[in-house]
Amino acid sequence: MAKGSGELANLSLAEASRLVESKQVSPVDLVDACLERIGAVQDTLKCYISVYEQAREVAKAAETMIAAGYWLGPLHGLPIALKDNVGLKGLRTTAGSKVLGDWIPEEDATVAARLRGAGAIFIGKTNLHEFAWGGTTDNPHHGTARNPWDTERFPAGSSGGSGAAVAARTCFGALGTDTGGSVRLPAAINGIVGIRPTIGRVSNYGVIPLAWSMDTVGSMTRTVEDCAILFNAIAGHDPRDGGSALEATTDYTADLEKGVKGMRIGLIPDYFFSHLQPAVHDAVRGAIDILVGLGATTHDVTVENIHGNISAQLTVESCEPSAYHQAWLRERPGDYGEDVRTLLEIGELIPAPTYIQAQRYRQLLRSEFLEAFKSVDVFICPTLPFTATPVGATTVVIENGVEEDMLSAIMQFTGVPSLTGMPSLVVPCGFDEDGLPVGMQIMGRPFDEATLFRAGAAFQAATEYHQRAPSI
Amino acid sequence: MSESSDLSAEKIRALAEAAGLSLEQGREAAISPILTAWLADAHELNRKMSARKHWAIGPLTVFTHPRK
Repeated sequence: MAKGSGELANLSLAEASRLVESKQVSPVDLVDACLERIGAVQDTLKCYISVYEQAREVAKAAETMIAAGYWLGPLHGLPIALKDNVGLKGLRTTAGSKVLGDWIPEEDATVAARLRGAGAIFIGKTNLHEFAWGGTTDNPHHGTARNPWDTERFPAGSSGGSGAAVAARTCFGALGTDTGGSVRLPAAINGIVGIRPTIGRVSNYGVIPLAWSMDTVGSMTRTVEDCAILFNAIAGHDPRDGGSALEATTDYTADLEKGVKGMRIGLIPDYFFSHLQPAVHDAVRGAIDILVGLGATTHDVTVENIHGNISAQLTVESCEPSAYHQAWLRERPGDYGEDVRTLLEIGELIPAPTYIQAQRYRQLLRSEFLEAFKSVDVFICPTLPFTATPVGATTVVIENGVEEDMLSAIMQFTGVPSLTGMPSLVVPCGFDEDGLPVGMQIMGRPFDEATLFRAGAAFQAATEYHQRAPSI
Repeated sequence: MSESSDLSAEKIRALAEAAGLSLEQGREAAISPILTAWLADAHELNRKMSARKHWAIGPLTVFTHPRK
């Protein structure tokens, strides 16, 4: 029986891929389903900056290829969205800004080229916090992105458009970028899966930078399996990216069904579980209990110098973008949104030795975590201390009715992987009393994304949080 | 510079001038509270990293080596 467009859009990437491979579903139908969803939600969610109607023609070509026996792999014919700081040849790439509002890249970013070679169909470019320097995707140039679970609330950022687009079933997966949390935060807030890879695991070539020493590109999807499939296509050395790692990749889907029996989960209770909204605490603790029930064990770990990571992250994440934006900030400061302009100006005023001390601290923190990984396989913690806040809020209440600055609070837990270069996977693990998603963060050894996917897949095999959809 | 008081507009302007950054009138009001708070925490981290036990730690610096 032919599937309706709504049913098609609700398929996971893996499910849709199997139907495409077996010729039960056409890529044209998938693209039509996604474009129909975009038409239904875009005015409210503002999750896209560019939508590609030409994707239908690409889908027809994919259909012809597949019918002739030229199936390229699991992404062939699947509509995928790209965050609009990922360059696409010949197509506007704005970085969510006015400064690059008319930029037309002359070549694909490496990750885009790899997806294109895998047969993925680009359905559009998603909204982001301007130049990826912020955590709300409240974009003054391209609209305020909103959360599909409650459109009065934010989708987090900076990859908030990608997060909302995936959650709202407008695409089968998306790419985001993560410097200080910009894949992981929208993943948690929108109830989807997102990975920040090991630094250097995925090429940054052709992606507008935020902070060179922390920038990564990651996949964002509705399931862990989907995330691993998309990650397979983009991971690997790129000679055009000087920071690209030579470490061999693997098939990140190979261990998805191996379970977590014997997996050692590290916990840092005094840092990661001491200052949380109750629903976040309960959801993540409950998730850990489920993994223990599946055969994992937990181990309390002390990381002596974990406190201080927020300051180091703010220093690095403000100084490096300010270096990139130096010329524009002097030539056209008024073309930036107020919040990003302020952050860029601040980054110019932090003393150089302070930046170097932050970079020394990163070495210290990394060495302490690498030592800890001798006795555990992963760390699990909340992604952030709270669920989605109202659009426009600059403060948040976490405990005892005390309002806190949201920028500092939002990166409280995402900074560790950003500073140390470790990979981190976010998996939905519950909802609060208002039906807003909670996501846990699974952190791993450098280049051990496969273990993160394995843990996340085991959790999703035992739970149904990833199967719930917003009602928009 | 005192770490217990907000950076004044004059100090912000002086820092910006040293950085070669021309600030429009009034920008100091947006910058000062955030920069003051961030620098207070950064100075604490600076002190930590200046401790003798950390003397051997160098900054996280990446060299890119061209392929032959």
